[in-house]
Amino acid sequence: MTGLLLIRDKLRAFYSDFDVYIRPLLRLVFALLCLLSINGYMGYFPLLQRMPVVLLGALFCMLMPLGMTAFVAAVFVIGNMAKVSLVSAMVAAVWAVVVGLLYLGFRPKQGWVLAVIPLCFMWKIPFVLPVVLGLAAGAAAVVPAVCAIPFWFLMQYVHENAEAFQNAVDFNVLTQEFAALAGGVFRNSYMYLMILMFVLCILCVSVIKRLSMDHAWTVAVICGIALEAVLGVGGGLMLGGGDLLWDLLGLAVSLGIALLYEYLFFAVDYSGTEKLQFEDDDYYYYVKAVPKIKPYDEDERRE
Amino acid sequence: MLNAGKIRLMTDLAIYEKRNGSSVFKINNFYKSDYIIGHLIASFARYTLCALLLMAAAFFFQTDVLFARINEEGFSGVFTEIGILYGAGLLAYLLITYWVCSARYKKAKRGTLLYATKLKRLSRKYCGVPRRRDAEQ
Repeated sequence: MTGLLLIRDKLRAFYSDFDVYIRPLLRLVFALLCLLSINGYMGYFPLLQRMPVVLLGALFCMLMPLGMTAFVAAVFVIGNMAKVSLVSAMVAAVWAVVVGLLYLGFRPKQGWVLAVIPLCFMWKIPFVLPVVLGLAAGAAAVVPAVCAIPFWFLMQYVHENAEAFQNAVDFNVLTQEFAALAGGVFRNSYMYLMILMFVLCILCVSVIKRLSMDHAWTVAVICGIALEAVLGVGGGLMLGGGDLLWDLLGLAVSLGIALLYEYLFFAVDYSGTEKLQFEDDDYYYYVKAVPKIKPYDEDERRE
Repeated sequence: MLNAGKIRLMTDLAIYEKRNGSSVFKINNFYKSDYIIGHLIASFARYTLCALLLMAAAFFFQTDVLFARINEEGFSGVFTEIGILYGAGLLAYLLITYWVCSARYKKAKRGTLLYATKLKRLSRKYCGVPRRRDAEQ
């Protein structure tokens, strides 16, 4: 396993040397993944399907901050929806503007979560996210998760009922389609179950990983996976919203990614824990110091 | 000759400036009250814009429901409900804004203090003035 840590350190060194090029490249790859997945899932608009348009969108995302990818992805989704149903495109646009104004006005750095959640739902692996988000982004990731999940269920509803929409610019048709859309999306109990699972799981993982007990990260991951299994898989089966095989696969992948993440970013040796107590003029200090696992001997490295 | 201590300190300061410079130093140009009030006003504008957008959408898609309710409850009943919903949401959003901005300001202040302490230490190293604790010893 120390091989992994060596690779991690080499990757870190490589990243710190070439971060000027790596960051835009990662943004480009992420944007391409998002836009191609959206086109693959709901490719109704021929213009947006064309590769030069996708590349243009991805290049724009590459030059902008990461949060902008969510905006461009929303534009692609709304464009595709507009070809099938004007009502759903309008609802999606209102949702995107409200989230953009209320949430991104505050915390634009976590805008990428808004894009990554529908992406994982599209790939049928939503269970990968809550634990990893809890570890990597913390409790603040709850807000973009709650904003992005209804957007995904709207996309799913449009995808599944694309042929039922008439897409007529007639007031009566529009109101009827809106009533059907609101019923299909906002009365979907599986959507609320997913929101509850994401919120509880992210909060649980982010709170437990900050505790000072031994193996806090491992306990956090196990609790998160247990919550996902009970709420997500069990609840999904009861409500008939999930797919057991994909859900179990998602759980296994989630566990693997979370443990790998823990090993790479929180590799510590609890057997070497030291507890110190000291004081200054203002405070008493109770310090617990846990040494990090190093893939090489520091003395050898210095020589 | 190269001074490892100075280089480490300067690198620390440069990294801090690169990572947090834009956010921390911008916040420090304001008094706390000015910073929070500015954000509260921006939040009020954003929230009101969103509320107007949602109301327009609700009016467009649910016109018949809205008129049916106005017939039943009268204008005042419906608009009082809309007003209460708007007010409660606005209050919650402004409270969240206040809480987030206060925490950000506090964090930025702490960061600036740390930065200033490191700058002082670097300046002492260049001037050759010993730290007070070292001088006392």
